[in-house]
Amino acid sequence: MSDEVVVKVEEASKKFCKSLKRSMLYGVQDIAKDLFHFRLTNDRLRQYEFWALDNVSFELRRGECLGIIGPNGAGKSTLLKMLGGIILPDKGLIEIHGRVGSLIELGAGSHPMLTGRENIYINGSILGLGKKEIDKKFESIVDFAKLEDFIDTPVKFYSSGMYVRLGYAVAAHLNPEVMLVDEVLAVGDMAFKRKCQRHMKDYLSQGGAVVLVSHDMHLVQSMCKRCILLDQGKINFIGATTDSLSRYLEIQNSVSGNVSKTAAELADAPVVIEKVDIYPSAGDEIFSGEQVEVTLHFRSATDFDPVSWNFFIWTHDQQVLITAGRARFSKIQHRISKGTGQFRCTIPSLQLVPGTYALKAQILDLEAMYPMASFGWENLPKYFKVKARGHEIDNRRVISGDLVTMDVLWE
Amino acid sequence: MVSVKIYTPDLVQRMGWRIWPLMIRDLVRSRELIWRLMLRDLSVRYRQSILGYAWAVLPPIVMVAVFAFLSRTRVLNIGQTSFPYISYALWSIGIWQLFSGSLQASTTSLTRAGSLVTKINFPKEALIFSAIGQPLFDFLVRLIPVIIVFIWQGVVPAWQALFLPFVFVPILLLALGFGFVLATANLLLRDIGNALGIVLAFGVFLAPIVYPPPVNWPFVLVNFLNPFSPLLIACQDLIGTGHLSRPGAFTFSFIFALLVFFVGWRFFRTAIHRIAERT
Repeated sequence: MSDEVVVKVEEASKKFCKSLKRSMLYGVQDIAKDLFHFRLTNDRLRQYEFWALDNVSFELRRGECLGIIGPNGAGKSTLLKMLGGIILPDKGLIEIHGRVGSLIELGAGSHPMLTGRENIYINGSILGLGKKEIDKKFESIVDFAKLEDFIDTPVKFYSSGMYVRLGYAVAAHLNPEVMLVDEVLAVGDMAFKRKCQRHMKDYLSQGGAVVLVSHDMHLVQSMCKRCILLDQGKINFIGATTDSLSRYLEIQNSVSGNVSKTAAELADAPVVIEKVDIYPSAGDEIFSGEQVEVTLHFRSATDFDPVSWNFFIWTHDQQVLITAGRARFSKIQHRISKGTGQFRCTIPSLQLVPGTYALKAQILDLEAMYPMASFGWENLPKYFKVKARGHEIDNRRVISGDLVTMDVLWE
Repeated sequence: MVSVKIYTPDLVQRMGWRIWPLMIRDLVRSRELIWRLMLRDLSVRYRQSILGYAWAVLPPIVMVAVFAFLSRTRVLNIGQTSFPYISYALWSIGIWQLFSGSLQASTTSLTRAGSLVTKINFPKEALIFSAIGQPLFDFLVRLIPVIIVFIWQGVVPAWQALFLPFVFVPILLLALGFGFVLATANLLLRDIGNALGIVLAFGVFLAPIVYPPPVNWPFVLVNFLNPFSPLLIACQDLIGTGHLSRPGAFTFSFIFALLVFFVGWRFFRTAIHRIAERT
């Protein structure tokens, strides 16, 4: 029962047309073929068409939350629409066992002039609930959305968060076999997000299945054991969430190179950080808990004195993890003289859990405490991998989403 | 016991005739949704309005007043109607607006629904069917001035007027059938909705609404070529004389309306997947 397959996708593909006029023409052709039972030629691309989703296969079982991640335009929403039965695949097959509940575009059926109460009934019946069912669940829906005071107010006076709460609350009471969630929780506040996560987890433990599309790495990490990484319509990776996220961030980081400042643009500044590096004091690879060194290479047009420098270790999903700066009145003074030079420091024990991290750095004017040069914000940071010595405990930490380790003296 | 749905590229073709029971089942299942959408549209419509339902009643009264004036002053020679002119015209315009309103509302229903069509899977016929709620309700509101004018002019409907609902059914089915096709087309090309407005503005003169059914060639054509005309004439007959003056044309129109409805509905079911991905 618990590992029963509820969604099966076999080599599903979907094509879209880049040209609006062609798209209309093809639409008319396809409808005519369907009506008069001509042979379909969906599997071939016509002029201006491309595969928005290409040969995607996977299975989803009861109790499982499958994350779908990927850059914009990767085909995530297209996939959800196909799972929801709104559009048909052009190739392949999609099999759904049971009722599907969509949290795609919450409150799409809401009317701004109607009150929350009226909209609950409208949304409920669009999603397939009868009046009696809604009557029964009404109190619980309102309670879930925390809208008791505004239930008879037209929803056009609602905040966007209230709007989303209302929509989620209705969809949450559908009790479908499969729930499709598309980037909708982003608007709610923290308390509501936690509530939704709790609800989804309860729902999963009761044998529901969730397909979650999100750019919120933390949400994906906390909800899904398994993820599909879509890129340009194809499955780039399918597997454990941590691995999928790493792959995704690698793709993202290689893309973000496009927006970074060029060397020439940066060269105009009086001080430029040319390179930041982190390497092990011994050996070739960085291992968790061992000694590493950080260096910063700079080039300056004039002399500066006194200066200071900081380095930052960020997680690869762009969250600040560690900021290492020196106290303002520290005895060690740095200065920059015209030409090139470098700063260095040693980290006796790198207490990071195995994974990929980003290293950024700054040179500060110590008098004004103003960053004169920075590395890793407008250009790509230095990415580095921390490995484990193969201890079992380290793998457990990765799985549980830990970032740093610390020494504990057990008694 | 859970239902298994299988989506493949040739879903519609594979189903063949089995699509019909599915369509009926979906219609039965979505009757509550249709009702709710109708109520929604009704309750929203006049929330930001003081005159409210007067807006449903005023336009036909103004139109009839204009034609009655033109007729009185002999600018237009309208001819003899089967019952007093103002009653005749007001009643006929009511029927016409029931048809044209239903056609217009169902044509624009999908575009008005916005992302509902492209984001949520539900029987989308519900949007088309629910669109006729508003014109139906407006028709009932317009009956009030019609009844007042009937009393004023001393028009007593024939007892056969009780059969009127049997004429309203094909009128609505005809509007729905065209509506299914036009609504789908309107999702692709917004021209359809705009063009329909113009066609309907002109269409009021292409049926014997503000004038009696013509008897002279070529004007007599409006009684036959316009599939709506025989249904309208039946509505006039049931009030005026009590017997159908053109039973053959009426039967033909009745069958035609049924045909348009079922073909349109079937077309809609086939086309909606293809259209949803292109809007």
